[in-house]
Amino acid sequence: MTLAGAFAAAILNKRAAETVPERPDLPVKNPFSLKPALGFGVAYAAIVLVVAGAKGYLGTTGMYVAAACAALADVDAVTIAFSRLGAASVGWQVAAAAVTIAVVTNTLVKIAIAVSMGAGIFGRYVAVALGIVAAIGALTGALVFCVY
Amino acid sequence: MLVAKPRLEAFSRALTEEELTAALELAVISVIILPLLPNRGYGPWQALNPFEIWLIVVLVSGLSCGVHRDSPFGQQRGMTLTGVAGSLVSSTALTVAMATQARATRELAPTAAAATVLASTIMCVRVAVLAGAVNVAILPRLLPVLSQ
Repeated sequence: MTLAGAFAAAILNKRAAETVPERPDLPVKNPFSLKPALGFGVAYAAIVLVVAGAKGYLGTTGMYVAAACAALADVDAVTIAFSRLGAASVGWQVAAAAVTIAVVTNTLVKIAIAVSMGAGIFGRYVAVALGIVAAIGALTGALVFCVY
Repeated sequence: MLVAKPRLEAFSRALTEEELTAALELAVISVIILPLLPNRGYGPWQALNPFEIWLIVVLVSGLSCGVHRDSPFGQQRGMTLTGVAGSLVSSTALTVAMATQARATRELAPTAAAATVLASTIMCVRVAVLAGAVNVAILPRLLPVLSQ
């Protein structure tokens, strides 16, 4: 996912350098308004509730579901939690799979944010680049899970 | 203070009223409101932590300010820098900030898309470092997925 992402970022950066003229006079509109930030805060609260629900109702079997839900907002928490659980309780296969699910889900979430909030060319560029990255992550994840 | 006066004057002239309001708003939501919120869980499963949820709002607004205040570095390099810095904090919050900027100033959409993909790539590296720091044993299964 790192290689593919770096490659995609480099291509996009080159394209941006070619198509976006460096214009200091360009009136950069101030995007700072509390509304998008507050909206995201509300979405985050809803996600946190869903994760807690998945854990509460599904128990240990809902671990993958919980990892995917948690990653909607934050990958670090899932990474730390499952790396720590690891060998002791769930085994490395489950732990690594949960982290992979979290990273891939989070990448898909970014596509959703980009398409819904960014619109136009921004959504398209991010969707194509991160779509490839997520697909590679899911494929290699499945391979590693089966081979080990 | 006296030595810095000419520089301070130039700085205050460079700030527009809009930016000043934005800076004040950011100060209010981070320095005044955030510390007042209780840092403990409420609601079902004690899932909702007011401090954590508000921290997300502060992050998104702070990164939006970062995206806007970049211009001294040149737009392209400035947004790439914000992408790198933001991805170390929260690449999801950065995606929201970049999407908002792309919508506000459409000419910058390709640059914002490149920064978003870069941030998502750095997230993969961050997850690998974090997982390895918590427990090295997870890396043989995680690295093939994250590195590709």
